[in-house]
Amino acid sequence: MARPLSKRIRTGVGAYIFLLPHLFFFALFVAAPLIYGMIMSFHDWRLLGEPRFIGLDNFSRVWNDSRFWETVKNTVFFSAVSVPLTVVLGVVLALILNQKMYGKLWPLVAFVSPAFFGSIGILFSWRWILGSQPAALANYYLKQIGLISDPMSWFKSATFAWTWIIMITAWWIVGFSVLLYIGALQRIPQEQYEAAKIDGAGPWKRFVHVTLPWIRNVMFFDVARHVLLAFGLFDQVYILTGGGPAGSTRTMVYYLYLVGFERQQLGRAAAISWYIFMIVIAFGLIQLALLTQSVRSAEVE
Amino acid sequence: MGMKKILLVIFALFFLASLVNAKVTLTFMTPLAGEDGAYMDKIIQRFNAEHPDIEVVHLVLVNDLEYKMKLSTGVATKQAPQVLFTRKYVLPAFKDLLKTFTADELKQYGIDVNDIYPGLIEGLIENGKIYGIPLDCWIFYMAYNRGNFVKAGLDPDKPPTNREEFFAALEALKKVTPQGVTPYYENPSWSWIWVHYLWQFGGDLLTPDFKEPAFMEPGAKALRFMMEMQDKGYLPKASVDPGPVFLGGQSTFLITGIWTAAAFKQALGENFGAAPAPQLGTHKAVFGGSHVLALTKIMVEDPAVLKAAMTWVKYLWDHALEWYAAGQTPARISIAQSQELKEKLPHIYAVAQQLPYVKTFQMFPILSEVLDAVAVHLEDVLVTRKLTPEKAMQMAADEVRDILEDYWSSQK
Repeated sequence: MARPLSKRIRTGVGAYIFLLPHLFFFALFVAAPLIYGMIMSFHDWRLLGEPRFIGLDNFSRVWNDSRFWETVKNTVFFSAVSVPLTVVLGVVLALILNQKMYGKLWPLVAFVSPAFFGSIGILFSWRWILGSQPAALANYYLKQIGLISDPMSWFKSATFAWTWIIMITAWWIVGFSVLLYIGALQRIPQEQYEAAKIDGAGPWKRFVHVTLPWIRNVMFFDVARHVLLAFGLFDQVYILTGGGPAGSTRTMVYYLYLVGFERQQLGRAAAISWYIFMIVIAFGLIQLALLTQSVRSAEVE
Repeated sequence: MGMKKILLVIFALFFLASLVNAKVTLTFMTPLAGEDGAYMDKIIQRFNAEHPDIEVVHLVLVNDLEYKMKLSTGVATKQAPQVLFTRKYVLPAFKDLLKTFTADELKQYGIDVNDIYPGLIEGLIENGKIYGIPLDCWIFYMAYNRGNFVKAGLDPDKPPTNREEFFAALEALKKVTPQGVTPYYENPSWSWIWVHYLWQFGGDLLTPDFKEPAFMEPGAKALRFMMEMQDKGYLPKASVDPGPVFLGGQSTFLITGIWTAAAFKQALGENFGAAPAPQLGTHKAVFGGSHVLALTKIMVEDPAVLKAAMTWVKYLWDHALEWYAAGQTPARISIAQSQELKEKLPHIYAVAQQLPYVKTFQMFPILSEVLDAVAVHLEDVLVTRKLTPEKAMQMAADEVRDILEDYWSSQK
């Protein structure tokens, strides 16, 4: 029997009242900035002076800006290198830490805990360690033990700078992946490994044919997560290299920051943010398609 | 009732007294960190002690971007610092926000702009109105190791002044320079050293109207000159950190900013030598910049605040010699040529003799972006040798044209 309209309305209103606090903050911190950003992107909008409507000019200038596409290239390069590195490192650490061994809590905490610290503390600590002055931690102790004779400038070239950004990022964020993979590994029935051993499969074949299929879905999620993080790379560039040397480590989000705050062209920066959004959405859709296919194939198996 | 009236009168008296003795608080925003900041703090403390009716508060923002953001948001919210002390190249984007004076108005405050080197005040005057007063000049100089000179059989009291002398000294110094180090050990991809040589080869970054790049031919000549030094083993072929090697006495020459002099002198002691940068190109020039004093127009509309702000500016103008000890050269001609400077700061005096031909960055609001676009290609020429100088300058010019076109189209 259908409920009376008044009761349905009362139930609905009650539900929305409970949702109201979340809706309020969603509107304030998500919806309103999105709409405002969209409006700004169609204007020549600066910190001082009146905004001027310019239509799609910001979007066409970003499209024709070679420096923006250089930052896209840098961001994609970073993703292409750091994501596989972090995922592989996460799997390897999870495999090691999933073994029965005495005292594994300490390495677990050591590898996992950086992921739960904020970027400022982590990155300023690394900046202090890798300073180019003789008294910086790395230079001082490496010289003491005779590995270097003169202080090193650790970010002196694009290659050096990217190497350190990638390694520090992998070290910092691998922890959450380790936890995900440990959880996935602990779901694998041991009989599958025993059966594979009986069939004569060595460690590598057991990993490929038993472990990997079981953690595949978690891996897809982890890859998607890391790619989204990689496309948002900003903190490491801002704190460690300032986009240098000579702009070689500028990423999309860092370029957005430069345009918005250095040049104070807020409208142009808003347009860049929409380009970043579209690039990330495109990749997200590819990931979603692949993940859906993977989940379906896993269900069939 | 009687008690209430008495309290009201006491309160009113206190209020009136506070108005009479009102102290003006000025926020003085600078980019000075480390030793420079400490020097300025001492000057501020002395000023505050001598002027009980004014309190200067030192706000330090080292990063140019943060400095500019603070200024913009401060003006938008009417909470900007009243007095600015900033690098000259930051000002063009903000000149409409700054209080302007005529030369006569400044003279009434005791500031004579004719006492400032023309190369430093250039670009700070528009239609007879001055929006910034240079206080100092951070100029390039040649730091050299006197001990290495002696070891190489050179006279430490006769540092090189031109290309021939410089190359002869470099050749002689090679035998006392360790393997892996060059006698002139500078990071070849440091953009400011290229700009220094660009100016010594008669070029500039942009045309005077800021509409076109102007660096292609002289920039290529500067790069070819640097490559020649690399090929002869005088300058490194890789990106290096020059400071520690120079401080350790392994390299002999650095052409760098005067702000390094204090640290070098402390590290090298008697072996530290300071001289004008040698003239290595075809035109007489030396790289320089300036810290400029300016007032934020909107924050000094109150006559009392303006008076206090100009009192502070005048104090800095009069006590500039104390500031120069931090490692700057004078912007004022009378001080640069004074016996007092020669006696108190002899190395600053020696370097200050370059001031008549100092060049500073053009006053274009986004010049830093223009320089960044060029800097990207310096490594391709001087480190990886992937590009010829001419090709690199052409590519840089193309990018700069895009930047300029974008900038001018938004100025409609």
